[in-house]
Amino acid sequence: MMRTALASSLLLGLAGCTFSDGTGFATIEAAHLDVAFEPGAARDLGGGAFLTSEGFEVRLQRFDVALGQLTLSELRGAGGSVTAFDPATPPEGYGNCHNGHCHADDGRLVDYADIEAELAGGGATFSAIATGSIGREVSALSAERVPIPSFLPSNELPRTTIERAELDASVVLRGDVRRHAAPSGPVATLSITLPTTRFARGAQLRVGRDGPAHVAIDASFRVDGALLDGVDFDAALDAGQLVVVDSDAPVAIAVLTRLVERALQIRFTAH
Amino acid sequence: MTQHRALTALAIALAASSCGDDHDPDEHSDPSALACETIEETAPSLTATTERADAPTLAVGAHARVTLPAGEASFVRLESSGELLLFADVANVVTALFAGDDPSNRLPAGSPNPDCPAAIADHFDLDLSGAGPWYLRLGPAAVPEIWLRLVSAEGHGAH
Repeated sequence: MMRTALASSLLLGLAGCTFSDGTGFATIEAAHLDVAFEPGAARDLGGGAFLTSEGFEVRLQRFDVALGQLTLSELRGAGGSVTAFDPATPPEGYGNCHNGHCHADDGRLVDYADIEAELAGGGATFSAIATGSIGREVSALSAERVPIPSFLPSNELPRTTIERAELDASVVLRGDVRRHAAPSGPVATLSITLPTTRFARGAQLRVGRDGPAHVAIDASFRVDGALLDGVDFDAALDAGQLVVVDSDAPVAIAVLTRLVERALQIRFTAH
Repeated sequence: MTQHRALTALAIALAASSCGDDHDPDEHSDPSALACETIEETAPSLTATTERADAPTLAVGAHARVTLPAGEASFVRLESSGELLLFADVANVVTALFAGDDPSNRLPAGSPNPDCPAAIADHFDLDLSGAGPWYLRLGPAAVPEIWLRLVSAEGHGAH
């Protein structure tokens, strides 16, 4: 009788340990998002001007980023899990794989998680594990750090493997452009408004019984001087201005493609 | 005495095997790791030209410090074909890849070399299948030169 009571107490104790409310496997203890425009040595002309690949000189007066939310997701297959592929033997359509992405035959860099979702044949979806609301507009020209103090449903993470980070953001650019080789030539004003877009990046954070207990999130939305590469501003110089509000406009597509490919980065520090 | 000679011979053999250049290019099967070492070495100079027809050639296995004309696009011709890796120390200087006179830009997306992202800010997986000659467009850029290394893609990836 005594032994049975002792065993029951032990079992109840263990169950309480495992299922107590509000305690996850890991706690997000700090999170922030850096937003910055950094032209880089190859493009920085000084005085706020930068060079594009087509030889135009752009000077931005505004580069505003309206930040929505940062979402961390796991990949769930139709059967509950998704098999990771071996980067040493990339699937058909992909070449070299390293550093979390593979080089696709069409020249794109594709995150491992997206390839895994593709290999699952459409039966896999990304499911949100934690969402941090930001709700602020910041200037990339002044390089700001935005804290993300809390996540929903909780800063406590369950047992999971986070494989994707997504940021909802919209962008407004205002400035002027001229031919770099013709400093006294015509100038056009620029006004480019991009709609709210979900920027995604592959991530890798495994949370389980073995840890980590605490996680810090270092996210960034950094844009370099290649932002307007491939855009021909000659017509804008003839007209004296370029106004883009349609997300299907070639200029909007070029800028969004660049941002989607490069801007969002995320790093976890776990301990 | 015979044992003494044998030990002496063994010692000489061991000493000989440890002599010479510590840097053996073949010790790295991954060209990304090797590129991180090569960038520390003195590289021959090339001058990129604004006309494709006059472009100097960057050979497979070679690295070079390439001088760029100020504020203008310039060209380097790539030797060979097949799957190659191109490394550059400054990001956003390599701006296009052309096959012959075809105006289509065949340059894939670049990314930092994962083994030394600060030293090699861009690397590209180039597929030079099809008719050449192949030309890299450099710039226009605000820097006066760039370090480039071109190697076979064999042994790259999966890390």
